[in-house]
Amino acid sequence: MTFLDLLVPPGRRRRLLTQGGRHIVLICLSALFLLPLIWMVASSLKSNSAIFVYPPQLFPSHPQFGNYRKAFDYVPFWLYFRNSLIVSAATICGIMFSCVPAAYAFAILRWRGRDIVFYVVLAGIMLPFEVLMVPLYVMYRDLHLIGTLLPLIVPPFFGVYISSAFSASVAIFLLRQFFRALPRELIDAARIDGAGEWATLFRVVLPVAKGGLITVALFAFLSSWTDFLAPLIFLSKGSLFTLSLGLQQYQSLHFTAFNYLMAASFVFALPVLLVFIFAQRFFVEGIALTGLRG
Amino acid sequence: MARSSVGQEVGADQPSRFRRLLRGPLPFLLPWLVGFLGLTVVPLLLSLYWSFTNYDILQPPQWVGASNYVQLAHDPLFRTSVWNTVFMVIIGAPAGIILGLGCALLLRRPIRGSALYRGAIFMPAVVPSVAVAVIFIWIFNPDYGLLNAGLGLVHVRPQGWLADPSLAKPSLLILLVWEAVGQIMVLMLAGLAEIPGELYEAASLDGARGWQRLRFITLPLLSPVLFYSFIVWIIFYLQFFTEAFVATASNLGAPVNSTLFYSIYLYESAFSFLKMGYASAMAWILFVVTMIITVVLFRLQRRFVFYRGEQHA
Repeated sequence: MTFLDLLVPPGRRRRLLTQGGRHIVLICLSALFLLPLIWMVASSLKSNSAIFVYPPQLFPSHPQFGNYRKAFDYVPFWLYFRNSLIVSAATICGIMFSCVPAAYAFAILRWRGRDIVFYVVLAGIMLPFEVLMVPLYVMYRDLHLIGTLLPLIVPPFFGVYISSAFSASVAIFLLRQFFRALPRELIDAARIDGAGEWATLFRVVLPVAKGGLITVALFAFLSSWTDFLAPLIFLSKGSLFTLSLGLQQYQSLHFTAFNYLMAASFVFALPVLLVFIFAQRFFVEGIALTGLRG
Repeated sequence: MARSSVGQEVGADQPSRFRRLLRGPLPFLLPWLVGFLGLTVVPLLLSLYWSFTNYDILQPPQWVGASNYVQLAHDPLFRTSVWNTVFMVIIGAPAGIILGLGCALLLRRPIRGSALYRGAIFMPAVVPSVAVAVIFIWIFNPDYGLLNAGLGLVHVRPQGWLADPSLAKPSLLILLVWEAVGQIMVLMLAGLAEIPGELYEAASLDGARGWQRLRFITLPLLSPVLFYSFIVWIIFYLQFFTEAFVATASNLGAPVNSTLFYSIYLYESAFSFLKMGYASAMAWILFVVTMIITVVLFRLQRRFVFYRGEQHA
């Protein structure tokens, strides 16, 4: 028996070793996943001369916080920011308006054909935006809506919203899952008290399913804030651009001001990062729910 | 007393069907239904019709029969775009899922700081795709980028990355997988949490070691989640657009069409070349292929996926 064995018994030592190994692997992995973000922030603080240096320095020796002010003036940043806010707020409200009652009808109400109609909703999850973008563009053009923000604002109120990771169909599906998980007695009790369906929805179901509503609202915010394809097609004027389109304005054929671009990217990502940090548990819950369906 | 549920409506005076619907689900479904008919079904039918026409939005569409579909079959760019997309599907989906599962397994048993690790790995998932794309354009920059500098430390020659036709797709895959792993990990962690601990206790009594436990307990019990992830990510890679568009915005599909993906070519056909009929045909092919893949995978699922008794009510 060695001195080390006396100090830390072998069984425990092995556990400490594997724990330590896991920590090392996890620290490396975390670094790998955070490095591009750190690089973004570091680059955003580099001066015009320090950014085009080889080999690049990870951290700038003289951080230029003034870059942020300059980046906001380089393109009409706050205009894009405002447009993004309008579109995101409208998407959240629209999805709530159209999808909450629909989910209630699929989760709580009993009616003939319910399951068939619900399959139609599920099929909508498979529908790529690429299929709808051509006819929707032509329809909005004929209605003279191209050149306004309306093609992004109105459809969510009618349960039409598709982005790469989230859609109104997913919202209905998620909300239905949340509503179905509520104890049936709660709803029956409301009915015995003579509450109508709308009263049951607003006074009984929604207060209890608050977590579900927050999850769906977060997903709607995340996806509409970051959406690119729909704004690209429907917003023809620079004054209507959302931030995801506006970022492209920092790039030109011959020169890209990467420090300003990184500063703008960081401010663009910041709202979602903050929401994520403060509401991690809702994200996790939402992903688990959409995911655990076989 | 106010009766509202449809099932209870069988009374002496049968109210009309319409009124029954009105009291039942219809008001709840109305906004969705209007949108579904007006902004989904009608556009779908329009697009199906246009796929059999020549249509440049300036003149009314002209019926040309199946000629768009025939042209697609002979269009080398279309074939390139299909191949590029298949490449991304075949490598991207498994790569993301294997890495996500690996991270989940590492974080499964309690470890100090696990919330921090989980947050760090998940964080890329909440960065807007456009921002991700521009960050990586900068990281992949052949002259001043982080990646070539890092490789220089281990004496690897600088590469062109997004500018190199043979590396452009792998470069995009790095970016997409970086974005995807965290989401997949969270999903896998939720799936792993559902597996009852007694199964592992029983297995270790039978002498099962780490690898065997993974092979015979974890993977089979996780198979519904794994399968679902495959469906989701295959569909994602079939349709992904933003990252490729932003990474090659000045010259779509560059270098030499190595990043001309299906959705990029569809977009170009419609909005650069104003070939709306041609683009509609492409869109319908994408839609039908997506549906076929989903249905086939769900069929396969019944054969390969293991469900615990109570999970499917």
